[in-house]
Parts: sequence; structure tokens; C-alpha cells
Amino acid sequence: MNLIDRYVFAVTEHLSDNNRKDVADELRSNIEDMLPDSPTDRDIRGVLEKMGNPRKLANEFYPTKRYLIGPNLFDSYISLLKLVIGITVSVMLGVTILGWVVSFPDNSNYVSLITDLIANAIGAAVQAAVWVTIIYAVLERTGVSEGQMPFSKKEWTVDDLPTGVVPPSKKISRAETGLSLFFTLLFVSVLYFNPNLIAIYIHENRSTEIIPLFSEERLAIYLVAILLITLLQLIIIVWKFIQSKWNLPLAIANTVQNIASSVLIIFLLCDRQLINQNFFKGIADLANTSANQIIDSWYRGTSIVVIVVFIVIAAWDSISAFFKAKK
Amino acid sequence: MAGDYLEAYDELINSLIIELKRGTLVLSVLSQLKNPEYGYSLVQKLEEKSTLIEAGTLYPLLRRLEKQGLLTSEWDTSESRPRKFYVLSEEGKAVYQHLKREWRTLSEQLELLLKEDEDV
Repeated sequence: MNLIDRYVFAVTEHLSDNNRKDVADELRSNIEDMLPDSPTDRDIRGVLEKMGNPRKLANEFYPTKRYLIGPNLFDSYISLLKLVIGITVSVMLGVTILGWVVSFPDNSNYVSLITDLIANAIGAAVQAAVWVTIIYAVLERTGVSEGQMPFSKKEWTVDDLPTGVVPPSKKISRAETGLSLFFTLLFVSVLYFNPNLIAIYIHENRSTEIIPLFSEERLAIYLVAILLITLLQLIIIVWKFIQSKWNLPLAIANTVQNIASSVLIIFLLCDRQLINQNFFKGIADLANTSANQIIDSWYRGTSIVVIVVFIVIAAWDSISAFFKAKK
Repeated sequence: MAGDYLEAYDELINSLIIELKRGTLVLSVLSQLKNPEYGYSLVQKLEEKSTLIEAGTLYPLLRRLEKQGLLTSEWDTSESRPRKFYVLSEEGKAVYQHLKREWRTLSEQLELLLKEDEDV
């Protein structure tokens, strides 16, 4: 490639496909216009240097958002990234160690524990970084970074002015956000990576029998829904982290998330194939009753109580968010 | 030390001048596009009237103005080298007239401010 080709390529390589050829053709004809007839190498160098750094020229052509996360969100991105990576890595380490402890007596192999720990920690850190980055990139492009409501192009009014100090009643504390982040990640990593940890452990004759709560095959059906709801939860957490006070769209998103997780809980608890039959047997043995009795009292009583409690908490959480947003 | 200071001063002045000129750029370009021009011919035309504008600033600007609907463009392939010609659109003409009026008012106002300063 000659110098002009290389220059044109350097300018246009980052432009979008539908513009690239036209910009390239025009740039080339302009450069050739600036050159004398039968130009020497020196003439070409002179003209290209006059045109300047190709990257700068490319920026002039398309001064759009060519960055993932801008300066407005960068600080908050970095601090949340650290928090999320810290939490996911420690949750994964915890889950891995717990999994190793309960796999007694096959757990004498320390080498495999250490490789598992390293692999899981790295995997968790990468996952955390990817998701946090994606969420921030989306929020960056929906206007949250300019202190706007996402997806709206509403003009700024005085009402949007921060009240100076956010009243404590309206404030979302970082500790609270961090805590919900921790439990969300704990919940999803246990369900996703090692659902068998939720089990009863019967220690008998120097061996431990583990009866998992869930039937793993059945749980797999729900995994997509669980992951999607978790993702929504993570988006809300990030959004809370950025905004650090309640507002209407956030309260609406929070309600949507609460409704979705309530529906999921109802499905999970009413699904008679989700809970391992052996688990009921195990409980029955411990309680000296029949498995049928346990099953009956679970589906007729306990699960309904759990659902009602869950829905009441979800409703309370949703409604109080609206009140906090209004204040 | 003195050299550093002068350098910083020059740099500041330069950036302020660029800032001042930037606002007039669009108006200068629009004023020269009653008849179709291609990139380099426009650079020369402006240069003849001692308005210096970097080629690297002008070419992207032309495309932006076209995207905003102020200019229309057409490739002319009849000559040995194909060239893209730009000309004011109907909207561009209206915008140009409007901006011209604005500019005149603005420079009158500024003149008034500057003159007032000299009188004191």
C-alpha cells in the first residue's frame, strides 16, 4: 500500500461500514487535489502531515460516543467494579470451599481444591467485570450519566436540581446496596454453580449422607428465568449505586423486579417436581413421620406461608420505594 | 523561565483565537457554497479571501453540514478524477441568511462594547 492508501485506511478503518467507502473516496480525491501533478514522495508526506493525525481526523468525521463508559460514570464504575469483583470472588471461594468440605470423604485432594479455587475465582472475577461493564455501558447510552432518566430526552428543569443534601429518608445507602448485592450474588451462584449445597446433611457412622433440596434436572428449567431476574436485579443495584436516591423510574423498575421474582417464587414453590423426593424422606426420617405427611404439610401449608410472606415483603419494598421517590 | 512563560502565553492566545474562529467557521463555509464546490476548491477559495481553514477541519465539516441538511452533495465523475461537490440546499440557504443576520447583530454589539472601552 502506498502512503495515501495507508492514510485513508487509517482514517476510515474505525468508521461504520455504510460511510466508510464514501468518506474514503472523498478523502482520497481531496488529498490528490492538494498534490501537484506527478507528486514526489516528499509532496505526499507534506500534504498528509498537513491533514494531521488520522485518528483526530476520524474523530472529526464522527464525533459520536466512541467510548464504553464516559468520565461522568467512570469513578462510580470503578468503585462498583471493585465491590462486585470482591463480593463475587469471595462468594465463589466460599461456595467452592463449602462444596469441598461437604464432599467428604473424597476431599483429601488439596491440589484439586486449590486449582478449583483459582479457576473459580478467576471465572467469577471475569463474569463480574463483564456484567458490570455491560450494565454501565447501557446506562451510559441511556442518559443516566447526565443525571437524566434513562430513555427520555426530557429537557432539564429546576425540579431536577439535586436538593443539595439528599434527605436520609430518600437516600439509598451504599451499605444497603452492597448487602443486597452480596445476597443476590450468593443466591445465584449457589443455585447456578452448586445447588446441591442446599441440602440436609446426615452424619452417620463416620460418613455423611447428603440429600439435596432440589432436583437438579428440574431446577435447570428455571435457570434462565433465575438468571434474567438476577440480571434485572443487578441493573437496579447499579442504577441505585449511581443515583444513590430513589426516583420514579427506579421505583417502577424495582416493582417490576419484585413482581417478576414473586412470580418465579410462586412457580418454584408450587412445582411438585422441583423438590427432591428423597429430601422429604430425609426430613420425615429425622422427624419420625411419614414422607407423605411432610409433603402434604409442605405444599398445603409451609410453601403457601413462604409465598405470602415473600409477596408481602415484595409489596412493601415496592410501595416504600414509591413513597421515598415522592418525598 | 521567561521563555516558558511566553510559551504558555502563546499557547493560551492560540487556543482562544481558535475558539473565536470556530464559531465563524460554519458561516464562512456556507457563504462560499452558493455554487457547487469540492473540498479542495473550497479551501483555495477561502484562502484567496484570506480565510485560512485546515483541510482536516473543513472536510469533516462539509459532511456534518450535509448530514444536518444544510448542504447537498453529488459526485462528479465526468473529469479524470471523481470529485464530490457540495452546494447549499434550500434549507441551507435559509439558514445562511439567518446566520448572516445574527452575525451582523453580534458584531455590531461587540463593536459597541469594544468601542466603549476605547472611549474611556
